[in-house]
Amino acid sequence: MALVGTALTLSILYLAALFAVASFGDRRAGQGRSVIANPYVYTLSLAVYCTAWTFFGSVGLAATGGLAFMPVYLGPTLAALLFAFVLRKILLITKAYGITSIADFISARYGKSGLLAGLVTIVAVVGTVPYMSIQLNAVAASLELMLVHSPNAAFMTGADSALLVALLLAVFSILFGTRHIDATEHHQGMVLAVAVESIVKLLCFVTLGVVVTFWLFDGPGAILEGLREAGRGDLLTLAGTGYGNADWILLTALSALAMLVLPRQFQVAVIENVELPHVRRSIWLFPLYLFAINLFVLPIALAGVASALGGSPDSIVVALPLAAGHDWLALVAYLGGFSAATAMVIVETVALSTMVSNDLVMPVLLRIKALRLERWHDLSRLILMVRRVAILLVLLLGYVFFQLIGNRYGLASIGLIAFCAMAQLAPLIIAGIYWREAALPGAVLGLAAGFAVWIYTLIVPAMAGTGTLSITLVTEGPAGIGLLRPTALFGLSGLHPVSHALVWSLTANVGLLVLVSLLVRQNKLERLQALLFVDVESSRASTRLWRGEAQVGALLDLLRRFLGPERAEAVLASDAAARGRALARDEAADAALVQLSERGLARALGAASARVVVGSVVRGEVMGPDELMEILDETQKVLEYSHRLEEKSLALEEATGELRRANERLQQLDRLKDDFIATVSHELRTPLTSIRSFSEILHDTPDLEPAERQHFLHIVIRESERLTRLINDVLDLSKIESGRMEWHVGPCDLRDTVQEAVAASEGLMAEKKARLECELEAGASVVVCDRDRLLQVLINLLSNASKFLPAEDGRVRLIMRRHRDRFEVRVEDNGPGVPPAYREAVFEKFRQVSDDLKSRPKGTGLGLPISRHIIEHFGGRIWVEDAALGGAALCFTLPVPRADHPALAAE
Amino acid sequence: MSDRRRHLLALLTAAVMLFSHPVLQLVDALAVAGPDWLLPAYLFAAWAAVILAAALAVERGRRE
Repeated sequence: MALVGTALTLSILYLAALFAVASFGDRRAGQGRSVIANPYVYTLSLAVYCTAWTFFGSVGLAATGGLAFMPVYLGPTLAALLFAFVLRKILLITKAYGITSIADFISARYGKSGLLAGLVTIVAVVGTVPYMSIQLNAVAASLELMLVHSPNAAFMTGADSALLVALLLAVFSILFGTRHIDATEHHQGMVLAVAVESIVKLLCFVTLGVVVTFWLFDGPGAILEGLREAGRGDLLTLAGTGYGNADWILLTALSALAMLVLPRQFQVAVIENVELPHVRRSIWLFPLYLFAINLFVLPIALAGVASALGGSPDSIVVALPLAAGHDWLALVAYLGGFSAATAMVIVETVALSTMVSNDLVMPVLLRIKALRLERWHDLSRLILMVRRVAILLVLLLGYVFFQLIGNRYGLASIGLIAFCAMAQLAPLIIAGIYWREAALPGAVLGLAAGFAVWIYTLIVPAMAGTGTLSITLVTEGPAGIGLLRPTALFGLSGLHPVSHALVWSLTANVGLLVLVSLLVRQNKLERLQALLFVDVESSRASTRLWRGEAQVGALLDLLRRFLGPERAEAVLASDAAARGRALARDEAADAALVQLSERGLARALGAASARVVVGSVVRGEVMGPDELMEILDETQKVLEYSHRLEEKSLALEEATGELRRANERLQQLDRLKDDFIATVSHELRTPLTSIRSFSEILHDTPDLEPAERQHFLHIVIRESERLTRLINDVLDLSKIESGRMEWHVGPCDLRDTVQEAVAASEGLMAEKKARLECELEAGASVVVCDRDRLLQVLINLLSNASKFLPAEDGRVRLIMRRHRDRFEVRVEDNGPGVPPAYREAVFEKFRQVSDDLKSRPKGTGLGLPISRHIIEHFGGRIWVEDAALGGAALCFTLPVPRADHPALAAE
Repeated sequence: MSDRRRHLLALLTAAVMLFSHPVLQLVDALAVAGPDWLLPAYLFAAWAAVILAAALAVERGRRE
């Protein structure tokens, strides 16, 4: 069979296989076992971005402009990094409000404007036509090239291959994409087929790249050598791209915008998205796909240049294998390109046909009363028919464009022209989801102006190039006004034609959008929609847009007419499932059912038309935007009130927690107080018992020996002293805590006081057989305090140290030294020390460290708390740490008084 | 803003700089003294690095 015949057979078999894949996908979806609900299929469907332009055009562009193809793929890579922000928000809006297309999205944002939806649809169709022509051009050119190598293919002679391809793709797209009328229902079969096509085109291109690079040539080095011999080393440099400084940036930005606004990208990325989280992994998987498919673009293109093939650079991928005599490789290349083209055409026509029917044709048909559409029992067939005709028309328009203009330009040039047209939608979307004030008049005027500038700066020169318009229009400007030359508008020159068009069209578009939006007031419905879109994450609660009454029967009839009986019943069934019972025909439909019906109709007709159609059967009226805004304001107030309540609840919870903690602390203190009272009582009882016992003996036994009497009296005196000391401690603590302590503040020599305390404690140390050492730094040591209380502290610390000394070789060392602004006194011992966990506890009142240690306390346990109160009263600090002697060191500081201290001045 | 989103924004900024015309001109100028394939190699290496960094930012964010 002739090569071209094989290619045609292969194309038909491939389409049949795709159909089988799509049917499989739909069947699985019908069984509730979706095969597209994963991030990998989602990413592969995004790769519909890579069309025949990528397959044939990128290589063609690289063969003439080296790295000039790269901005088209770097742009989407950068855009993908913003998926988590922009695409996520668009998806939230789309899923919340049943959006069916990019036109529906924009129109819904700007007050469900039918005018804007129609305008967006016109821009999308006109902007896509050049793109469609690329696909036809690429596939047709490949077929014709193979025809040259097929001498026996008489059956193709004289045939218009582009028309043949257009009709073939139209039939396939109609069969494929218009099986359902619910535009929001995921086309699972189609998405699966597109994913498979993405794999096929990637495999074909990589196969071609590997064979060309490593088989036809001996690796990249050999290709580079051939390139140098051909004198085209410039293709590896920036100069070789032919881009100016700004072109690289502008074309990268344009491609990034295209990733968001091309109808087919919106279709697969937004409408066909099954689950929001799939976006996350596509952030890096999609750029990875772009990287992989572009890896061999340059080697193949440079190999084509080195081989001096002649002919169109866009045909290198097929011409190169044919020239080398590898027909099979040419078929692989053709199949990859055909796959890329079909994927694009299918998705694009499905998206465009939905827009044409929902936003252009049906709104017009519904307004033509002579058609009497209200009498039609089933309009779903009409809707499907409109969509099918739209598909055919779009492809035929692409064919006409190809015949008039397309075959005179490279694929990449036409692709960029299409990108620039679609980029006019980007300001409306970006402003629509981030700027509440963006208004309908601004959107309409901005889009119209941008689109007009696009036609003037790109289409007019292209038509002049074909002779359809006078060339002087381009060379001299209209009426000879040079400033208005389409390719150098207002004198801007030196840019790539697409960059030039992009700058002026977006300037006009964004300028008018912003300016007019700032000058006009939005109507109420626009304000409402703006609020719902911009604050989608906080206002996703369903809003009841309808008031008044409608009968269930009337709504059902309406749904049947536009959706067909099955889908109409499905809408009512979902309502019945939500409310727990099915409504009868003669029952009144509430706002929820009316809203549900509107959404169902919006899927087939678009938001603007659905609203009009539902309004025709609802008695009463659509709830006015004023009332709706009032409801929203009320809702906002309720939400704010709820938020405040939540905050108060949290505060109460915190207060409760604090109260609970305080209560626990009180209970602990109560326990400590009881313990303390028990301890004090015990301490009081012990000396009192002794005193009483020995006093009774003295009283009852007058004939006691004098020595014995003397001994008993000594015990009574000692126990009385102990009793006095204990009572004094309790009284001191009580006075300090209640603030009734009388302080006799004045200058006091710390060294003298320390020496006095040492002298007073010598007896105690002697009793313990302990050695008391003093290290007192020389120099002035005046502090301001109550001398008696300071002495009490020092004696207390020395006494405390003595209690814990070992039975043998006890040592106590008292150190006094001065720092820059304070004196420090340390009382160290060689006792057991105080573990870190108890070092703060020893200063707690009602708490004796010995409660936690093994030995019983010696004393009331009030000495250290009293000492802390005294030291802190005079601005010092007291603490426990390890001593150099091995035991504990009880340390305190007192501030060095300033020279102008009042106490010193009085002295 | 979550850490993942902040990392992606930082990566976007870095990627814009890597692919900016002034940086490409610098690499292009280096290619005059070095191998003539330096610019394509730089572009593809930078592209791969951005993809790798994006994968790390996204997947690490998922685990957290």
